[in-house]
Amino acid sequence: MNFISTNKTHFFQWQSYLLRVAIIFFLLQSLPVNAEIYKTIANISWSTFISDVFNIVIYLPHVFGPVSGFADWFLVLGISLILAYVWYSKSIISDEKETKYFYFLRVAVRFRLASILFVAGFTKLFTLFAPELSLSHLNTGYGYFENWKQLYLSLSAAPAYAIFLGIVELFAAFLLLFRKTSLLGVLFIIPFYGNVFLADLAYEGSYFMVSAYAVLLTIPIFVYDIKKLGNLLIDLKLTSPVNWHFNWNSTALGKWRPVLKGAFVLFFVVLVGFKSYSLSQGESLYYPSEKGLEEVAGKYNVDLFILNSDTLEYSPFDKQRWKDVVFEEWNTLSVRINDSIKTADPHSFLEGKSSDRDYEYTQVGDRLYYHYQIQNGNKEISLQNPNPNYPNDQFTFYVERPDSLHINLKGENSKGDKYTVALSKVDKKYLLYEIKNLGRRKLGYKL
Amino acid sequence: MTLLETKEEIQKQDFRILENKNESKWPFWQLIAFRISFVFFILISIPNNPLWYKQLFALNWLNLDYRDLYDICRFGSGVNWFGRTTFGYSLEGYSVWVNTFLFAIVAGLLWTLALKLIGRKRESYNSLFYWLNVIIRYRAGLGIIGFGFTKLFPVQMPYPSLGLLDTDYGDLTAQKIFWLSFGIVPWYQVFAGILEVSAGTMLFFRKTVPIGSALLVGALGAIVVVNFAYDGGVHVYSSYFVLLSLFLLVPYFKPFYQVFIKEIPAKVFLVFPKITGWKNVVRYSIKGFLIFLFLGVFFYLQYVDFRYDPYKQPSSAGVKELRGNYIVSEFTLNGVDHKFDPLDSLRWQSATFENWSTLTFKVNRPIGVDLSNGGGDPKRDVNRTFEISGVAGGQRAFHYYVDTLNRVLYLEDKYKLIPDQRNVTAGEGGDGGVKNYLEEYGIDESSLPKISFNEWIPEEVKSRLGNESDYVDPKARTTRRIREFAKADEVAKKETRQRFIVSYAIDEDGNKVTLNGVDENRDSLRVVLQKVNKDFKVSPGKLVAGEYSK
Repeated sequence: MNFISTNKTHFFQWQSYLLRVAIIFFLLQSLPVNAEIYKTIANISWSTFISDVFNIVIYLPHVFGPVSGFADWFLVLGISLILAYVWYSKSIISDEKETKYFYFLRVAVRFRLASILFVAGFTKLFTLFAPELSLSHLNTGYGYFENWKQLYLSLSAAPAYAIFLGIVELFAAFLLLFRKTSLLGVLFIIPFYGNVFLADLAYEGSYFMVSAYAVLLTIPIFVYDIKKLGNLLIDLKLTSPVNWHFNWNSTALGKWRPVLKGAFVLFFVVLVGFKSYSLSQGESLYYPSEKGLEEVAGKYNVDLFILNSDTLEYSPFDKQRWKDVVFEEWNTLSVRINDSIKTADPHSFLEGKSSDRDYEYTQVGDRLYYHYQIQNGNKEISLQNPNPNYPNDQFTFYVERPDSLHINLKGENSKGDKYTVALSKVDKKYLLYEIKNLGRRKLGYKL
Repeated sequence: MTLLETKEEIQKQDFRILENKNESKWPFWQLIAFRISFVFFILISIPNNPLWYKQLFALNWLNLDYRDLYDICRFGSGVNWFGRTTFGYSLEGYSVWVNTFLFAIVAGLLWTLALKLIGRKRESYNSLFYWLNVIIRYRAGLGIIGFGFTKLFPVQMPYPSLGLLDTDYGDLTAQKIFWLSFGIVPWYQVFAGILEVSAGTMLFFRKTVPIGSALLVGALGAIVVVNFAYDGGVHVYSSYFVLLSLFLLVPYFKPFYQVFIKEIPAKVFLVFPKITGWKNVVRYSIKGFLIFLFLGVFFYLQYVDFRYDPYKQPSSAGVKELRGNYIVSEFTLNGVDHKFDPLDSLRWQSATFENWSTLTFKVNRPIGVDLSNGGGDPKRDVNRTFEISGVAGGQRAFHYYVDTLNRVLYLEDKYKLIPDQRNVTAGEGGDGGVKNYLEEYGIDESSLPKISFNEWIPEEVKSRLGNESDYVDPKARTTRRIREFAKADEVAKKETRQRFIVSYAIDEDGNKVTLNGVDENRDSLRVVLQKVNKDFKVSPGKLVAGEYSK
């Protein structure tokens, strides 16, 4: 019985070729070919650190669309197949060299993967990843959110689950830092990110290639150990470990190894971890940072609605009359109307800059969203619909607040139509929050 | 001898030691640990509720329902004869586990003592360990397959009804939100089902046990967290699979650690008893039968369920011309006209007729909320409450029978104060805790329906309605369904449901519906509904459960 592993693994020709394909493929996927990545790198700053780093680690080169897609991958794969052939036919193959190449490929993918996992994990652990639910979202019909938004909202509804996902990601990332535990880490990541990939596809996310890439990055590590894994766990045979590993002391690089590793940990664990934590203590990365009118947040019924000189009664048919109005804590107000809404796609993610955050009004219907500027010492607000499909949707209103429950708005839109709107606050109780305190076992509960 | 050769020599020796390692002598602690585990895992792998056995013997094997097999796969287990608490604590529902464990410790120690007294010495339990593993493998495998098939044919999380699509996000419970977020992406649910069913299947085969168990730990571990985070209610039952799988992985942990982390040679020690001759025939027959039944037959039954009688979703088709979302343009109650006003507490604010036999409408006043998860095993449409469970915002849902001759709808409230116990044969898990409600609280006279069951539908109409049990495709008319409907009238008499009766007229090419009749308070009711196309941003896609085309 030959169960002793020799220190040198023998490489077949096709293995050597595939190894080169893999090396070139991963190299090409790390090539910054798009202008936006240079812009992100150039503009990296401490205030937008997490979103910048997130965008950098999930960057994949793309030529066919705004983000990497299947077509880009086929292109990269095609180039890799050709270049690998050239490289392969020109090189003298020795098992020793192949072993070394394979080793460095595994080191590279370990740290590449860990970089994604640390950033993704910390944003989930510190609940930056899934935004809190806004009052407007709570007052939007379930069917008016597009699929991708539904995924986010469902994570927001119970932050504990996202925190758990973050812990798993971070745990796997730590395991990747060490050669000996990297296989265990990979065994966590394959099902985890395989699932994320399918969820991304199902909910029509645009970054599904990133999760596919995460799974792909595990393959060199997994393939390296798969035979032993099968031998040990499936065939239940005596299995010898790998004893070969690169002798770092043999090269000048060896001295730098702890420094490089330390720098990696310092950046992706200490810095990213610290910044994620401090962000979680501060403002949301999804909603505007400007404060709204004082003590205004809530849901309002529209008691009176005068358009020019016509008083519009409550009507289930009217497309102009507002149905209800929500004021957020920040400078957003949203209006439920009786008409279909042209939705916009999101462009920002974990956006540091307040004016670029588009989460609240993208991929959702049922309501019109307005960001407002407070002027004239809380007496006047000017509204702008940030949805690019409604560029001219603007209002200016005089604000009158006779008491804490009523708001009267008087003003006009950009076309010169005059509006007089009287709002009264609704004491709305949300089942989502009420039941969190009560639990679902209560009988005869009414709401 | 070079250094390298010495190393290889040492390794060779290691191997020889490992190869010949004597597994027939276990240390004392291992013997005791095994005895405790044996008692614990046997108890937790067999049904503890007499109802489970009763239903098993009552099955009509020639006309099975998917739920028959589901109920075989899903049962409560463990020591429950000390009640459902440990020293007064329910321990988040885990008390039965703790009680079983305490019992197993005592039993394991007594077992050890008894052997000592009679002077018998056991050195190992290799073979018994194998059989314990077999029991756990099949228990966990069948259990997860039962769960998985309701996802593989996506019926566990149904696509939201028209009424749900029009319910505000904040008016849903977290549990509902999570379930719906799966419901809108049926293909993803199918994938989850495939994963669960294949993990279960892998437990049927020795070699794939580590893969199946590892998948179960991962998938069900996540489901445990989901159930805690979203208050899903099945955290104990999902933890159950994690526990069983972790036990199945016990022989693998150390060798994995040794080979891949400590980097020393290792081997998984598992002893498989030699089974030969007729015993082998019996073994393969049982195995073949179980696979045929729980993979083959179950697949077909779940398909039939998905196609014609989908689990949580009502199965009888609604009146085709009525289906859609509606604006309520006129509303007259007792002759008093209620103009549209979102603050009016009596008026219907909006309404839907679903694909199936349900009318829903919204009112602006607090109403009773069904806080169950809308699951369980009801066959009657009126008891399938997924469209209102975990939903507030004044959303009411009424099941209706339709007299097509006179164009009259006979409606009954899907909400009732005392919900049915779900997963009856399981005895635990799901929403089991309301049995004693009646004894504790009694029925409030004022909540009794104004229109009693007997006066609700005239006999002459009843005879025309036919047997509701036959409203579905013949393939879905299972014995379970027939039996449940046979008892339906008896049960209905005891229920406290609101009922009302309206005639319907359809005008304007089906865009206007006028309802005329008496409401649940015997007040006269006239409602004019105007059909609207809601601009929903999610769509059902092609994988749609149920058959409503007639």
